[in-house]
Amino acid sequence: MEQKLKLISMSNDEPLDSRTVRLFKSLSDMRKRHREENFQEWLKECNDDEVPNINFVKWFINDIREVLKHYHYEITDEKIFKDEIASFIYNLSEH
Amino acid sequence: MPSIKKKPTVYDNIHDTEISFADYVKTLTIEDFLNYSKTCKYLEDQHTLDFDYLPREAIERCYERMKKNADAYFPGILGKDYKIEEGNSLAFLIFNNLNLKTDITVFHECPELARGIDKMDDDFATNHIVVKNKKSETEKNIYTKQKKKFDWGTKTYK
Repeated sequence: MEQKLKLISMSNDEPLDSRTVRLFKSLSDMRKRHREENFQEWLKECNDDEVPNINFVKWFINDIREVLKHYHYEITDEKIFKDEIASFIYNLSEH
Repeated sequence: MPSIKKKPTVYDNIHDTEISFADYVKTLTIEDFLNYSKTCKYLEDQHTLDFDYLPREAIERCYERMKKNADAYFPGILGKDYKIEEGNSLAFLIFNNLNLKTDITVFHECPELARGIDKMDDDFATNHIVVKNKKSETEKNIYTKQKKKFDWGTKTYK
């Protein structure tokens, strides 16, 4: 016998209660903290010559900075710039 | 014979301060050009084109060099980029972190590019009104959401 599928809405317009909001917030914070810890560990990892990954990130950033200096460009915010480049390298790396 | 000193008229004052549009453009600062939408757009477009011409390629070459170094000495780093094609993404990321590099001498050489900047006040007023309308619209939406209140007596939303 064929059964008709009913599409049930999983959410309604009512907002979540405060306990659920707190739960999702703490889960999100935990995930964020976990990602940050993984990233910091990855920076400390070394290659075969005992050179940590953070050194590669620094060389990379310095090389880019040299290119920008050559073309007379200024970086808006050094910290954000460094963070974004480091994240870019991390996301493209196997870890 | 007593000398008669001519009283300065309104027309004399106007004559003293009148300058050509080209000279007026030369008196303007970078902020003035950035505050006027037409010249601001021109400077931003020029900034993008300048970056696209040489620096972008230099960054891509730099990335390729670093990728080769990573493959040789840091196995795993940049390992997900198998085809060495993320240089363009890097250039885009870097471009978003740069200050606007401008050269306002182009307006001195070709004042027509800044035509209308002397009526900047009008343009600014128009822009200001547009922004104000957007803001009030957002506020209106927020207000509608906040209006919904929970009634603990009946345990429903009003």
